[in-house]
Amino acid sequence: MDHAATRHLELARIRRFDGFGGLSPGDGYLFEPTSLHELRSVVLLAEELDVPITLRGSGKSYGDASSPLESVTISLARMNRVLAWDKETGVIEAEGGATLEAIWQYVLQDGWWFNVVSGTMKPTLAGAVSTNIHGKNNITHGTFAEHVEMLEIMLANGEVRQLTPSQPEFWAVHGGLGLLGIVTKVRFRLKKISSGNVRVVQRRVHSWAQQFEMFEKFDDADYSVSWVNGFTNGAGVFQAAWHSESSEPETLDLRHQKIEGKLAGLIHRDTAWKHLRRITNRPGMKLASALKSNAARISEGAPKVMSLVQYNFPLDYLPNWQQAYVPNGLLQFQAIVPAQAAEGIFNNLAQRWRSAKLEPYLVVLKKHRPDETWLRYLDHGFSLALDFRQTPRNAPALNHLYMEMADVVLNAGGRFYFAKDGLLSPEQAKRSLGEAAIARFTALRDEWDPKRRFKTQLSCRIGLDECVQYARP
Amino acid sequence: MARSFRTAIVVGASSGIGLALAEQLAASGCRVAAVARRKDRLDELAARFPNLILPFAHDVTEFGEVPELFQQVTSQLGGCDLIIYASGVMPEVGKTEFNTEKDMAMINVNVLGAIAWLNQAAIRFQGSQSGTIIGIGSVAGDRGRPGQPVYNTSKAALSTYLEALRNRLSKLGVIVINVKPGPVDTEMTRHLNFKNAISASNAAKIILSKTSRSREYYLEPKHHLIFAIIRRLPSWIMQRRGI
Ligand SMILES: Cc1cc2nc3c(=O)[nH]c(=O)nc-3n(C[C@H](O)[C@H](O)[C@H](O)COP(=O)(O)OP(=O)(O)OC[C@H]3O[C@@H](n4cnc5c(N)ncnc54)[C@H](O)[C@@H]3O)c2cc1C
Ligand SMILES: NC(=O)c1ccc[n+]([C@@H]2O[C@H](COP(=O)([O-])OP(=O)(O)OC[C@H]3O[C@@H](n4cnc5c(N)ncnc54)[C@H](OP(=O)(O)O)[C@@H]3O)[C@@H](O)[C@H]2O)c1
Repeated sequence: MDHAATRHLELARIRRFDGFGGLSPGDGYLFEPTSLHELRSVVLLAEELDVPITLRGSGKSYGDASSPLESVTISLARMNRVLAWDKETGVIEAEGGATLEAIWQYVLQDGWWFNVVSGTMKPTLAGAVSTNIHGKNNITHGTFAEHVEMLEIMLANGEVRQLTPSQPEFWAVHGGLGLLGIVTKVRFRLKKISSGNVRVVQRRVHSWAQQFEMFEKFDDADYSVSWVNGFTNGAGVFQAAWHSESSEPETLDLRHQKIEGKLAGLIHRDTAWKHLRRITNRPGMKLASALKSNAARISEGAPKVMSLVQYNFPLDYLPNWQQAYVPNGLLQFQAIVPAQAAEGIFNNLAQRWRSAKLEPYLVVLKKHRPDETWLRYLDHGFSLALDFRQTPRNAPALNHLYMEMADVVLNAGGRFYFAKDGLLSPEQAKRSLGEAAIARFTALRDEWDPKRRFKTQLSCRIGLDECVQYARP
Repeated sequence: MARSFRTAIVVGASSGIGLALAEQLAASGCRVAAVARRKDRLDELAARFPNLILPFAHDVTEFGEVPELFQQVTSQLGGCDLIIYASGVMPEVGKTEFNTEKDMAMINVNVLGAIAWLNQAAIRFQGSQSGTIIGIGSVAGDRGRPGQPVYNTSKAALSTYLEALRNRLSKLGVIVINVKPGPVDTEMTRHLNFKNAISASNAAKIILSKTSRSREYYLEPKHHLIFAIIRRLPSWIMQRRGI
């Protein structure tokens, strides 16, 4: 810990932090406390030196949600213990720095799995709470918040509070983007399973309308998602999946869930991104998308059995795959639009990106429902998550396209997921969140953090905070 | 290739090469902390580039102030991608004069001030594994010559220090550059009436166009050849010729 007498932070703590997309760098003074006591002294040090605090999980948000601005940057990487586990009820309590990966590895052998999990297992519990993650079962299981029984938060003055769903603030901290306090502990419910496998059915689809029909047709599935081909207008491969209902204890063994060392027995997973980088360009991705759809034609008939890990975290299969986008970056856009307007909007968006020849290389379509969080980003409808490759050359055109598409979404009453965004303007953010929601959230910040200790590049960019020192890249 | 920077610190930004660097960086949209003693000059500069130039009055020989000021600067800038140390003094020294006061001033500003500032930058860039450090050296550092013994010494020391930083930090992705100008038309040298001096703005333009890799280079290409020879000249020739 820094000596209280020094009037500046220890410079050697400086680290460069970035979003998963690699387009939101920022430097901060890293603190990794090991206890509430140490954490409090870091918070008080920031207060004494009048430096902002940025809360940092695993940095898996794509944009600037956890990018610091010369802030005291607090990571709970060393406050990551499981504190209590009841294998009868499936309720677990862990520190905020525990990752989803650590949790499933802890509970799986007792026959439990997440109610809600993201497409990567790397996020921390605090990160999952603060962006209020959703999964491929949002329509049936809601968001992460809906399965939390209690969370503990340290406020800007060092005070620790426990919140339960009956308190309104509970719903502000979920999805609160790390701007209310430090989530130090989370108690949440898991889901009973008898097998570590899922049964997956694939269907090729050729239009947006067909996509939506598939979500209807397979509405009894435990999970549903569609991988859209960005080089087409709505064609892609729809996947529905069900937990295996038979009792298969051997599949609950961690070894069964292991992600093997080599891809197709040939390419080392750790370095596979280097090969991927060679095809991370327009012709390469066009070909890959076409091949994927062809492969689906072959596998369309028979259901496929996959391990839970393989199915839920396909993107973790290639470690550092986003490196395929460097030295440039990955720009994500995830918009949620009302069901009745979805076809028109997606059509409009696809036409725009196709005519600009700026096709997204990965497009994921999911179905949603709203929840009770104050800064909610979900609604009855569908979301489209788009991965664009940003290069110095295409950046102006791509950013222009992003903003145009954002306006199309907002004009139709759509919303944005700030774990993915890196570009929206304050005006657009206000339309996405709604003025009333922002006012309510701001009033709580006035009460809990009147000096606005907690800040991120995101909160500055979208106008939730005024930050003189924020230099927009 | 010219890179664009978001945030920069220019130490010695009140006149000459440092001023031109600060102006050109700000004109490219970079936020610049302009550091020097003459506050009026810095304020005038800041007024020309509102929100882009942040003035900080400071005497680089106040070494103890640097760590705290460095942090204040970086937090107000919102980062630091680039630091340029351009502060320098070269008082007139007579052909037979040995003046310890003048000599110490040169060592203090040209060498120790550079170490005080660039050490902070080095700690920071070591942590963030990024960043660019530029020192303004001089062709005068290549040899010890009769006219300016300690100015020569100060630029040689700066060159060696920057070489060491380069050898420590390059592997982390930090770029460390020592640029060696010949005559540049600035307040420091105006009284010398150099015939072939280049302008400060030209010097700055060249410096900002060569930031993509770690190295030491002569600002003017012709000096590569001339100084390749001068560096190898035996001392007795220099003595005889009075070079
Ligand atoms: C490949 C991939 C797939 C993904 N798939 C999905 C998906 O399917 N569904 C989904 O919803 N999301 C998805 N995400 C996004 C990801 O789940 C969220 O961004 C999540 O918040 C990341 O958690 P993190 O621990 O990395 O936190 P960070 O990204 O570091 O931070 C996220 C937010 O949490 C705040 N925060 C961090 N620690 C604390 C703390 N201790 N207390 C309070 N606030 C804190 C930060 O300030 C920030 O606002 C995906 C991301 C990737 C890279
Ligand atoms: N001109 C040339 O021919 C030439 C050739 C090779 C190398 N150089 C080098 O280029 C650099 C810039 O010089 P220049 O030619 O541009 O001269 P200049 O116009 O005199 O500028 C010198 C700068 O150094 C600053 N400085 C001097 N003493 C300082 C102190 N104690 N604290 C803080 N800042 C101080 C000055 O600011 P304040 O006085 O306001 O503090 C001024 O901004 C120097 O390192 C010089 O050695 C110059």
